[in-house]
This record gives sequence, C-alpha cells and structure tokens, in this order.
Amino acid sequence: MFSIFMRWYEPILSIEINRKQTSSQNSNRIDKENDKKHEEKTRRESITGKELQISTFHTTEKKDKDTYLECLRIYKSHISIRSDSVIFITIALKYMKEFGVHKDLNVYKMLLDIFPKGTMIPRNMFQSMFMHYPKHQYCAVDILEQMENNGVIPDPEMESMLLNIFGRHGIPTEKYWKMMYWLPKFKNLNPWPVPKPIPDDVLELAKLAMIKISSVDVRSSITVYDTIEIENSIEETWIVSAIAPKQSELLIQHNKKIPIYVEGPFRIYVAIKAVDYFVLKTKPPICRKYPEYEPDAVDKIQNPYLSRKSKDIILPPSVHEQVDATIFAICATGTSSHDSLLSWIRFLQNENPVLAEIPIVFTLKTSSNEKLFIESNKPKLPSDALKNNNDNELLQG
Amino acid sequence: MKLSSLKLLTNIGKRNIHISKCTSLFYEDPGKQGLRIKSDRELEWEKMSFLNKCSIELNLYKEGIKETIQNYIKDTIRGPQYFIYDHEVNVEWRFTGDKVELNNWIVSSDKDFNMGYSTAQLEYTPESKGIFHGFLDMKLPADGKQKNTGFCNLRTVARLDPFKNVVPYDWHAYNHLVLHLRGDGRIYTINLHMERTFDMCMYDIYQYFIWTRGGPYWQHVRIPFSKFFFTYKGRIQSLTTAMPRSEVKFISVTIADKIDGPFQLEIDYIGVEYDPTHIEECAYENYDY
Repeated sequence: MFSIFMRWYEPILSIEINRKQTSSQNSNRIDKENDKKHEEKTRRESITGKELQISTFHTTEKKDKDTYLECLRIYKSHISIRSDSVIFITIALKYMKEFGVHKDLNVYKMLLDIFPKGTMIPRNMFQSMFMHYPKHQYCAVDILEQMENNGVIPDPEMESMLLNIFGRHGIPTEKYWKMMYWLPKFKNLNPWPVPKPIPDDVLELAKLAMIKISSVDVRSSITVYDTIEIENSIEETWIVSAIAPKQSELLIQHNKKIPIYVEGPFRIYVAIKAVDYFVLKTKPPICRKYPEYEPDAVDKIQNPYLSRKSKDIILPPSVHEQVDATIFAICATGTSSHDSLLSWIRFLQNENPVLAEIPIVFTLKTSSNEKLFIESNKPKLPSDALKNNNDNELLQG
Repeated sequence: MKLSSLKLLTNIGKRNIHISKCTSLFYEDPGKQGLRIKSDRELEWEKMSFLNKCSIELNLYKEGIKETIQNYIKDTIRGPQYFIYDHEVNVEWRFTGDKVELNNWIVSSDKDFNMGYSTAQLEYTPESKGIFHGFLDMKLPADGKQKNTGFCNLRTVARLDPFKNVVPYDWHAYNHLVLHLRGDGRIYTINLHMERTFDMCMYDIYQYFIWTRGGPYWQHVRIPFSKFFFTYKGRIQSLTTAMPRSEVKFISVTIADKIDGPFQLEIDYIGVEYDPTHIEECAYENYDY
C-alpha cells in the first residue's frame, strides 16, 4: 500500500513545484497546455505503435535471430512507447523459441536493455521495503527464469545491467546472484559431457552414444565402418561399433553350440536426442550362481580353512558378464536395418574369426517403441517373444 | 432483561463467530491446494458413521498393542545393532518379483492432476526387477494457467508403526545413498522427503541428480548425503544445511528433464552405505547469521 502511495505522492510534489513556477510565469501556462495535448496525441499513436510492435513477431516471414533483433530495434526506436515495456517483453519471451534464440545470452541482454536505467532504483528505505515497480521486477525475473530453464548462464555484464536498472535491493538482482551461485556448480557435473551446441548429424550422435555406453570398460575401442568396403553389401550406410579386448576374449571362451543373439533396437538418449542401438549378446552361464548357505544355521558352520573342496581360483565376473546377459559388442547403424547388421557381423569377423563358427540369431523389432516389459494382467516369458517374432533367422557361418 | 440479553447474544455472534475460513500466513493446506488425490479407502472412511469408525479404530488399537509387544520381544532377542561395517550396503528397498512389493510404491504424473499428458507405470521385467517406464509429454494443456509441464514421479510409501504413525528412517550412521539401476541415458532426480513437525515444512525436500549411462550395463550409483541440496516446492534454497539423516520420511525418483519421449528406469535395489573415507558434512557453503 505504501509503495502505491509513494508513487502517487511523487507527481503531486512535482505539480506543486510547477505551480510555484507557473504563478510567477503566467505566460508559459498556455504553452504547457499545448504540450499536454501533444503528449496525449503521442500516447494515442503509441498504443497503435505497441500493437504494431507485437504483431511484428507474428507477421514476419523469416524467423531467425536477425529479424528478432530487428523487432527489438524497432521497438526501442520509439521512445514514447517505453511504458509498454512489460507487455512487450512478456510477448517477446514467448516468441524466443520460435525464432531459435532461446539459448542466446546476447538476446536476453538486449531484452533486458529495454528497461530504463536509473529511474527504477529505489531512492529511500520505504521504496525498497515495499516493492518498487513490481511489474517490471517480476518481468525481469521472468527473463532470468527463462534463461535458467534453457540452461543459459548469465555473465557479469548482466549483473551491472541489473544493478543499473533495479539497484542493489531489487528482486531480479537477488535472483541473479542466486543463479550465479548454483548454476556454475551444476554446469560440469554430467559425467558424459556433450558438445555445445548439440550436433544435428546422426553419425556424430551415434558416436557419442557409443562412447557413453562403452564408458564401462576403459579399454573398449570405437570404430566407424562404411558398408561399401564389404563385398556384396546391399546398403550403403555407416556403422559405429564398440568392442573391448575383454569382449573378444569372452567370444573365444564361448561354447560354440550355444547361439548368440543380435538384439535391438534399444533406445539411448544423448543430451536431448535419442539414438537406437543394437547388442550382440548371449544368455548368462547357468553355473555362475554362488552356492547358497545360511548364515544363521549354527549347526552347519563350515571352517573355510579345513573344508576346502577345490583348489581352483574363481575369478570375479568382468563388467561384460552381466546378471541377465553376457555382452560381446554394441553398435549403431545409419539405417538400423537387417542388412546393415549383417555387414556389422562381417566386419567383426575380420578381427574375431571365432564368430564364423558360432550360430547367430537375429531378434529384431520393428521399432524401439515396442514394450520391453510384462504387462500386469498377462505375464509373458521372453522365450515366447522369440518364437513369435517373424524376423528370426539362423545364420550358420 | 430477556430482550437485552438476547441482543447481547446476537451481538457476540456477529463479532466473534466467523463464517469464512480463517487463514494465517504460514498455513499449508494438508490437501496440497486441492492437488491431493484421496484413495478409495480414505473416501470410504469419510462416508462411515461415527460408531463404525469407533469400532474400527478400537480394533486397530488392539492390533497395534499386539504388534508392539511382538516387536519388543523380537528386538530384545536380536539385541541392539552395535556395528555397521564399512562399505556394506544396507538395502532398504529391493525388487524381487513379489507383487505385494508394488503396494509400497506410488506412481504419479502430471496427467493425474490435469496438468499435462505424461504417463508412467511401475512393473516387473522378465528378470523380476522393477521397471519405472512411461512417456514424458511436454505438451501444455490449454487451460491458460499452466506454464510448465512434464513430470513423472515414483515414490515409496512412508513407514508406519503399529499405531499408524510415520516413522522416519534413521540413517545417521550412514553417509551414502546407493542405487543399483539401469537407465536410458536421461537425467533423473532423487528426492529425500523430510519428516518435520510443522505444516510449513511439508514440502521440504533434499535433492540430487542421477545421470544414467544407458545401454545394457547395470549402473551402481553412490551419492554421498553431503551432496544433497535443500529445495522447497522444487525451488532451490540459498541457505542450505547438511541433510538431517535421521529425518527421511520417504524417497522418490522424478523425471522432468524437458525431453519429449519414452523413458525407462530399471531398479534393482536402493540402500544406504557407510564409507569411512568420506568425512564431508555438506558440500555447499553454510552461512551462519
């Protein structure tokens, strides 16, 4: 309430000062009345001007950064319509994503630059206690909020701008300080960093995805194949494959009677985009379970030093021997088709000739959107899914 | 005399009895501003007569006394737990394929509150591990109020004692939260909801993120409790304190990373662990006034 009163009070003060001046100079009064009429005229023009400015975002055919900045420039050139700045900025914020400038720090700065400098800084204690120019402050907070949502971290220049507009006690300035405390803390926490801007090329994304998955084993190497190199290849695409030395060792140790599977496509997200990948894997060995023993059964306590049955050393399973499957290799192809996967197996055969002796089963789905889980009402075994699949094919090398 | 006394009464009624609801500044509505969805059992309870309610409560009380005695006997036989071994994971929640376990989990998404179109379910995989999956939709409902949407949440049920009071998890001896999971490369949030006395603190949550690797490999995530930061209604607070480890009411996993598309998170177990090498209390600066 008090802040409203103060804002009423200010013009009254100024009018009183004017009266004192006018009483001494009566001749200037007529001129001032003319000025008032002129002001009203400009205000009327400004309303139409405001509508024009807002419609510029909607009507422009070319939607890019240059046209967006041009819209801001047109608005700034009309000094008389600065009073509509809050409305203009809220609308300009909504159009940012459409123009593709929502991740550009400079554009946010240009938006904030619309606010007048110096006039909105509280001049006494009461003004800063009760919010000074609340609509403008909330609008500036909205700008910062949108920056936060789009992962844009402000810079010290923005701080000086905010200090010039709202002063030390403004809410937007406080919000800026909080942002600068937290955002840099979380900026580099992602263990699988992605280049900025995020690449649009599918091959680059596939490489990133393979790096992400194969980060479990430091020794795994990623290679990009071109299907033209192989004779009789049907399709011309790329294949990004990842295999570790441990995995080729596991392939050699694998029982040649048990088939291995090419499964997929599965989905992995890299930054904000999804990539489909395929896995070369087999069922886990049955004997991996450790013998069951009851720790609470007092009558069956065994002395490990006396009652040792075998002298073999049991090695702990490697990373690739997961509980549900043993994984031999992973890949992503340009077309995600059956033929590209065939050529992937052929490429792997060059380095791992064992693959020629092991039967390989292709269990492919039409898309990665298919359900990978049991529905609550009708339980289903994974073996049933294999039987029903039409794409099954047995390959004997 | 009679008339004057009547007048007095009417005047008192006008002055001191308010028909409209009185609200104070710090009051938090237990119905969460109309967002709380009541279960069928709760709705049934509201319809019951007073006598019915009394009889049910009495029965519950009897059962409560029975259980407390049984628990007391069990505890005395077992004895107190003196030693907590280093790097030994104390599993609090594990998925084993038993369908009764699913009652301990609550799945919610913005569709439940008419705030969006995301969907989520919790089910079992063929390997009998829990899978939290669904579709995150960033489409805004056209109601003119909503600004942001897109969240799916999986949370546990609060632990109750025989008399149906909330018992917080006492983790003061541990300093790491351990999760064994397999994700799809997206970022999930792990939330520790606090059990506090006043309704003002109803939305006090300590949060951290899980960056899932994706792919066919399982992921072992260890998050120190010191890394959790304090949020209120999802807003990060500048004055953080070390997480009070003996006040955790329940735990939840949220996905709200603003990416349209299906998501899936397989969970094996969630537990706590003590690591003697980790001494840090709070990873963020504490400013004392």
